[in-house]
Amino acid sequence: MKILDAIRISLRGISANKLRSSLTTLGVLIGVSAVIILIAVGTGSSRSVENSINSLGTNTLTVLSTGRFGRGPTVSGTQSQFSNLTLQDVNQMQDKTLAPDVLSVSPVISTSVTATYNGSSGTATVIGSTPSYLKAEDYTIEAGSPLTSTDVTTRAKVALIGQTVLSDLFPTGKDPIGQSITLGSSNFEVIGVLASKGTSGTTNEDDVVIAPYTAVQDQLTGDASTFSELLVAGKSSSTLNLAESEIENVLATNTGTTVSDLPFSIINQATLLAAAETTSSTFTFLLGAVAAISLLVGGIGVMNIMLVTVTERTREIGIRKAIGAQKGAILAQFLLEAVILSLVGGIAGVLAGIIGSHFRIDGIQPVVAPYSIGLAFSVAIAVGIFFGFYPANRAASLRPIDALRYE
Amino acid sequence: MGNILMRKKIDSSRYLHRVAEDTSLPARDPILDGTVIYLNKVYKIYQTGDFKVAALRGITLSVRKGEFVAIMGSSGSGKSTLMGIIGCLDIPTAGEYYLDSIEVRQLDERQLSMIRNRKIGFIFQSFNLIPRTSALANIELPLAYAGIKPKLRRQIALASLNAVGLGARSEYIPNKLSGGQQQRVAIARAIATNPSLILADEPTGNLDSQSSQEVMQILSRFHRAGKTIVLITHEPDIAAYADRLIRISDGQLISDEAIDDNHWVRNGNMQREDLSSDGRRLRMGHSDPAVSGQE
Repeated sequence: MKILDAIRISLRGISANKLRSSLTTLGVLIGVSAVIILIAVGTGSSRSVENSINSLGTNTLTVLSTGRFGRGPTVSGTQSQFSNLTLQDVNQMQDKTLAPDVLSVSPVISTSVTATYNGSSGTATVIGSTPSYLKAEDYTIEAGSPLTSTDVTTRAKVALIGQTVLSDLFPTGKDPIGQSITLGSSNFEVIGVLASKGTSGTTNEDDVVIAPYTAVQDQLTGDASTFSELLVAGKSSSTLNLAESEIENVLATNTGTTVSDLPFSIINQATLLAAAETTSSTFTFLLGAVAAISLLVGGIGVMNIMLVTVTERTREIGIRKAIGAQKGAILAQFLLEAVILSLVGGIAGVLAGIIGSHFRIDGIQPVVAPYSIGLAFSVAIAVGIFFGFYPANRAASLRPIDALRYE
Repeated sequence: MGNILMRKKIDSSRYLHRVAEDTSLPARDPILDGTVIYLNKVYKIYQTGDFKVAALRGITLSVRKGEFVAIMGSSGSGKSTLMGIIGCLDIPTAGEYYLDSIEVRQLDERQLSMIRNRKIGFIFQSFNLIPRTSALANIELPLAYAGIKPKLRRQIALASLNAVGLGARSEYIPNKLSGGQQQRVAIARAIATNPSLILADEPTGNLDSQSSQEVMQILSRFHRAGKTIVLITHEPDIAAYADRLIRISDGQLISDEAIDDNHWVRNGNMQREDLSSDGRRLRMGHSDPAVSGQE
């Protein structure tokens, strides 16, 4: 009894009841394609989260004051009891010998104000910084000109506005360049418009006004010596961890504490990215698990049909045994039928999964993970073998005399 | 081509001897050489709950090579049970059974399958062909289970089909064949492995008298060619084709006698005239429709 004979016999059995066989196959098809599509959706959504984190700039570090006491009395240049970030910190971080892996340091002051122009108004986040901030945060200028260091040193009341601010204040589409808008109670001249960056999580990155930090300190926050945040750009993402320890050392020296006791927290974008990846892989796993259940249900469908088939063909089994079929030959025949059903369902499911993954699902472009194809396909075959074995073994164990007399 | 084989009347036995004797069967007992069936005090007891039903109660019987034996009995006499045991589909509760000098009771399941495959050709009342499977593929099946290569398998199957006069129907599925033709395919399947014993269980039970005659004439022809045939029936005119008649009742053998031309006279059978003339004609070897290959 050659394997080819066994396959031929099994195929004949399957084609004997085409509708039933194709419905069984459909169960496996749905299971396999669900696994592939849902894992693709999970992969796609984590890809989009990663992209938006990348758009924040992957080689940047954000230094935040934690607001604890800690700056020692030996350090001159600040009278604050709070551990605030100072211009001295900024200058030392830009020192090529103290921090060789730092590309730029942008001090950041941010505050939320109401922006008005000619009767139109909107809420905007005003970010006071330096020209390097634009590059570190990946902002591009759509119209007008960027900030210059002269603007910072001359404390110029100039501003770059984001797309949301633009549409809030200039609903008529009037060219904003050169116009004077009111931020809080001060007037700033619009010198440029930022290109859209979209939203990142819950933050609307287009709802911003960027101005020289000196002017923001003068006009809006009134604190002339400290910053709430420093945005540090590393020279490359691979040396970001070096840059991080360099600025930690600078801050530790300036505050008179050790690196471990720094009253600041440093957010590394790479760390953020890793955290997001962990979250999204959990999400993908959950989606895959849900789909795996439907694959299991498909497998139970195979078993169900095989049990019916074995009962229906008891007499045929009896005939085969009477004319000399070994137990193994009967087992192979019915096991092969189950495996062929799940194999066909698996192949069709892979095709359906790949085709289905070309459509956007709830705003997410699914990305087919190659491992999911292999996984779903091999699980489908395993399901066929597992769920086919019991009915096949039942057929093979029938006593020929009973099977022959079965009506 | 099947037709060429048929026209040249290639003798199927030329191919059939190639079905190998399998070495994994136990050694044959030389004392029983020439005895195809040897049953000694065979009992079969079925147990259903607290009830014990003895279907066979001490059957002792031997059939020599080349005999054509009819076993007759009314329903419930145990003849189906006997057929199950002779066919190695079932194992006796007690007693000895040697098939072709091999003791059946000591065989395991795998060896029983093998012995059914190599030693027995079954012919059933309801034909028992595999549905949706061509006549040729049905005949090939026991050869496939015997492990014969596809090309040789096909040759043997075609030769067997020609031997029952259905060479031109090789690709027909059972549904498209008449009852008589289906039974002839079943006979071709039974002889394909060149078995030691052809076991026919009510082969004409589902056939009209014309087809019954054809089927019995084919069996008679195989008998004349040297085959050992055991025929189970309850119809006297079918039993009349055999040359030995065994009657069983209540699981016991009640008579065992040779059938000659005067048998039915002695037993006062009303159909004596038809049957003996028919039987004689057969023995002369004339007007056998299957031999001519016509349908």
